[in-house]
Order: sequence, then C-alpha cells, then structure tokens
Amino acid sequence: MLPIDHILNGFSVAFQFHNLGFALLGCVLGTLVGVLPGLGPAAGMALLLPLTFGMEPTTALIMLAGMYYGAMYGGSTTSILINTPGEASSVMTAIDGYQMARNGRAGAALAVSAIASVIAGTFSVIALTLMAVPLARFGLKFGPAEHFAILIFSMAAVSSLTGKSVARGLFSMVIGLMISTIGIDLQSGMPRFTGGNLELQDGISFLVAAVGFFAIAEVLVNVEEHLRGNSTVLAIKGRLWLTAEEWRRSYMPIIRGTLIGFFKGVIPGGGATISTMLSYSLERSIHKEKEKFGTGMIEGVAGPEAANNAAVGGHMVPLLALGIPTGTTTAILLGAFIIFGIQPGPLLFTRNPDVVWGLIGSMYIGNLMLFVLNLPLIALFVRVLHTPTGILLPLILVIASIGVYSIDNSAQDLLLTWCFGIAGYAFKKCDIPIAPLILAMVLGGKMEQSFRQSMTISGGDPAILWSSWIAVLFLALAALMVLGPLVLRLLRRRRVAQATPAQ
Amino acid sequence: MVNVILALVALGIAALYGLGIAAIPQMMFGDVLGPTAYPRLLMILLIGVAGLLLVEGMREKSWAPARANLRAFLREDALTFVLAAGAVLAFFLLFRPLGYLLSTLLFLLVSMLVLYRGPRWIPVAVTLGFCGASYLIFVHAFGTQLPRGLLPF
Repeated sequence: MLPIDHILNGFSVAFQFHNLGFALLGCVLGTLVGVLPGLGPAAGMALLLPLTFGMEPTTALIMLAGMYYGAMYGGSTTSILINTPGEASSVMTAIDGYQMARNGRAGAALAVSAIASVIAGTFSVIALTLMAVPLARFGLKFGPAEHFAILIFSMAAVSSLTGKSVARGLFSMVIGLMISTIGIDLQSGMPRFTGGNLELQDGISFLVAAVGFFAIAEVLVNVEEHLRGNSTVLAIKGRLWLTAEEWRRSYMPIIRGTLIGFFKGVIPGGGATISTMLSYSLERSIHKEKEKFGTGMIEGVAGPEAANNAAVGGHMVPLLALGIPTGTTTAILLGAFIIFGIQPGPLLFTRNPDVVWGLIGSMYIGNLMLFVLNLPLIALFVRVLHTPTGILLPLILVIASIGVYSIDNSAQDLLLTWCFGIAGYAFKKCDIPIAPLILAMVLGGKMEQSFRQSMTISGGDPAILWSSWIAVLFLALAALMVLGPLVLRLLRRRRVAQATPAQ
Repeated sequence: MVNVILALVALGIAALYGLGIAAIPQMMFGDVLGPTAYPRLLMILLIGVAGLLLVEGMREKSWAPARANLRAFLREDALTFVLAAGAVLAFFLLFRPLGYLLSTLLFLLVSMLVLYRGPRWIPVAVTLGFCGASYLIFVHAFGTQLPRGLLPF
C-alpha cells in the first residue's frame, strides 16, 4: 500500500459512525476536564481508561486522544475567565488572557485561543502524518542496547525538565522504576517484592498509580483550597470573534507558536508547558511594546495557545513511531495501547495500520469538531465552572473508585490507589514532579527487558550498551540532561560569587 | 530542609528495597544476570540520588522558609487533610462489604453535606440521582462489575 492509501484508509476508519461518535464524546469530555481547574488531561484519561476496556481498541484510543486535545482546548477557558489554568500548559495564557477578560475582551481572547488551537492542532497532525513513518523506519535500526539508551534519555529528559530540582525529578523516576519491578520476573519466573501477596504477582497497574497520584491527590489538595474560598468567574463580554486589527496582530504569533510547540513537543520532557513559555517569551521579546505584556496583549494569548496545541501532535510523533512517551499524558496513552495489546513503535505502522492511521485521521476530524463545538458552546462549558466544588470533588472520587475497581474487581487496588493518593499529595506539597514516576512505571518493564536482553547478547559485557553510535548519542544526551542543569547552576553561583565583592 | 528529609526517605526506601532483593530466589537459567541484578542497580541509583538530595539540602542558605511552610501546613491544612484522607480511606474500605450503592450513598451524602454550603436538599438530590444513574450506566450500559455488598442487586 502507498502512504496515501494508508492515510485514506485511516480516514475511512475515523469516519465510521461509532468512531466519529466516540471522538466527539472524547473531545467534549476532554474540554470539560480542561475547563475544570485541577483536573488535567492525565487525570481525565486515567479516570476514563478503565471504562474503555470493553471497547474496540481503535475506538477507545480515538476517544482517549480526543480527550487529550480536548483538554488542551478547554484549559484556556479557565485561564481567561478565572485566572486559574485548567491544566499546567495554560499557565501562560492566564497572564494576558485574564487581563483581556477584565478589559471586556473575554470573547476575543476565547476566540483567538480557539483559532490558534485549530490552526496549530491541524498543522501538528499534518507534520505527524509526514514525520511518523520515516522516524519509525529509523526506529527499525534499534536493537536492545539502542532501545535501552533511548529509554534512559526519555526518562532523564522528563526528570530534569519537569519540576525545579533535578535531584527531586530523579528521586521520582527511581521510585517509579522500583515500583515497576514488583511482580513476577518474566525471565526467571521468580516473584519479586510481592511479600507473598498473590494479587501483587501481576505487578501494580500504572493506572492504579495514575488515578492515585493525579485524581485522589488532586481532590485532597482541592478540598483544602475549597475550604479557603472560591474564585470568581468573569462574564464573557463582547463579540466571540476578533476584529481585523486583532487578527492582524495574532496570525504571526500563531505561526511562531505552532512551530515552537510542535518541535518542542517531539523532544521529551517538560510537556507542552515549556513550549508555551518559550512562545510567550519570544512574543514578548520581539514586540515593540514589551512593557504592555501582562496587561491584556492578544499576542500573549495567541502564541502560547498555538504552542500548547501544536505540542500534542509533536508528542504523538515519538510515541507512535518509537514507542517513547514524552510526558505524563502520552505515558498514559502508551499504557492504554499496551492494555489493548498494541505496542507503539517502529512496527506499529505495519502491524496495526488501521489503528494508527485511524487514530491520526480522527485527530484531523477532532480538531475541527472542537473548533465548531467550542465557540458556540463556550457558554455551556463555562457553566461547568459554576458547578460547586463541594459537589464536584466527591463525584470525581466516586468515578475514580469505579474506574480502579473495574480494572481487576480488586479491593486491594482501591487501597493501593489511596496509598498513591497520599504519596501524590506529599509529592505536590514537597514540589516533587509526578511525571517521571508515572513515565518510569510505564517504561520500567521495557527498560529492564532491553537491559537484560543486551546483557544476554553480550554474555554479560556492559560495553554493548555503548557499542553503537545511536546508543552513544542518546546516552550522551541523557547525561547532558541530568548534568547540564547542575553544571549551569554551579557556573551561575561562581559568577555571582565573583561579582560580589569580598566582605 | 525538604531535600534533606527526602534524602533520608530515599535511604530508608533503598534499605527496604535491599531487604526485598535479599528475599528474591536466585534462578539464572538462560539469563546471565538473574532477577536481582537490575533491582540492585536501582538501589544503588537511589542511594546516589539520596546523596544528590543531601548535597542540595546542605547548600540551602536557610531552612527558615521550609520551617514556616511546615508550621503553616500544620496550623491550616493538616486537620483538613487527615479528615479528607480518612473519609476516602473509609469509603474504599467499605466499598466491597457494603456494596457500591450503599457505600457511595453514605460517602457522597456525608462529604457533600460537609463541603457544600448551599441549600441542604441539593447534596441529597445529587447523591440520590448520581447513585441511581451511575449504577444503571456502569452496570447495565458498560457491563462494569460493581460489588453488591449488603443489597441483593
């Protein structure tokens, strides 16, 4: 089959009536999750995933992906209307978006956010369509040693780029890797760290941890915030569209944000948040009236929103082509693929073309669905912001419990989820990033497998781990990711010490 | 201060993990490393991370802000956290013995009545509506198996 045939076949899968319906459902649920402060795409997907087990894999993945980019769309609404980002990557949108709303231009801010999202989203899916197959072909050259090196790089990048401290990121990553070793060792058949508990022999599902770390911990934090007081929602004033002047000021930031978002999205670590920061900084630095940023500049909404949505397509490139997630949400999506018995990576495009091209096809349609849905229905989505937190938080907890219980009908999973929830609360309070832990839990088994396969091939000689240029390149990049921030901090301290005159 | 505490926690976890490694039987058929080599590497890595955290912690100029944060948490949020976490734990423990409907009814009613500050009939109506609707949707539409507990359905 020619590449164009695969793409057309993907559209025929995506256009099937039930797939269209579930893509729409995913987009709507995603937007709702994005609109609700505190619930991000990762938590939403973790909550929804157990409920998709009875579905056909393609349909379930289409719905989950719809939820992912739906949440990216929805996140901006809360940033603009209540100055509270619906999810982390909408932080930069809040700076000028909220000020625009206070100046009576909430309609324009929401409109530019939707336009930037649809343009960036569509561009990133086109780029994904073009880049995924060549990258997957390159991935076919990987043996176990190269695979081990690229997994190390992916985890090192996520650990060092999320959070404020590299050491805390590494702590989170190693704990995740340790949890992934619980259960029967597949090579020797020996139980490890189960303490004689039969239910632990299958290991701990990453979903149990994800629901605990995201949903339960988030609810516990939100209960505290709820008891301290609520935010006020600004009304949408003005027309839900842009003036010619606003459009003239927005299109270049959208283009720049799209490019930044997509290419940053392909690189592991930091999620979409870093790309929005880069886009905002760029717009501010090249603007003639820098000092006006933070007072309601439309460029400060257009650029970051484009970057935010373009990053989704960027994240999907290494996930689909190499089986490497670049952040928490794609780690959960990878977990979903594995649960459905599909292994993302170089062989995905030949083994499961219907799934992968159907998913990509649905992303084109989903982006348009969101644009068509979001502007006319924005008032409806805003109503969700008025749902009392005291009603919402207990409901989220019950949905989480149904999801976790339905994985294996196990009450022990519920207790484990509670333990992970408490740990997640402590992680949040201590500023320890959760993304490296979840990523390590999803990739841990694969990493051990490739490590032991490499050692078996070489008869126990560790030199195999750096025997090819690909492995050396990724190991060097991993070292750079971990050591770079430490060296930079050391140099900065030395410079400050030199600049400060001796007392 | 947080980094130093985390370093101690990491060392504690590494010690526990080490005990777990010692309990793994060594079987090395067709595997040059055996099932304990990779966990050993992770344990060493965690000890290294503990060292890094300790270095970062010792370099902190002052522990006063961290102490102030801890005091503020104990003063303002600790009780809320303990009560909320306790309520969730009670719900999870009762999920199977009481069954989905009864445990959810009890949990939603109590937590909404505590957290919601509006008219009392709203939490009652939402609880009843949600329990009924979610049971029908999950059990009958999605085919999810939820515990019956004390009820016959």
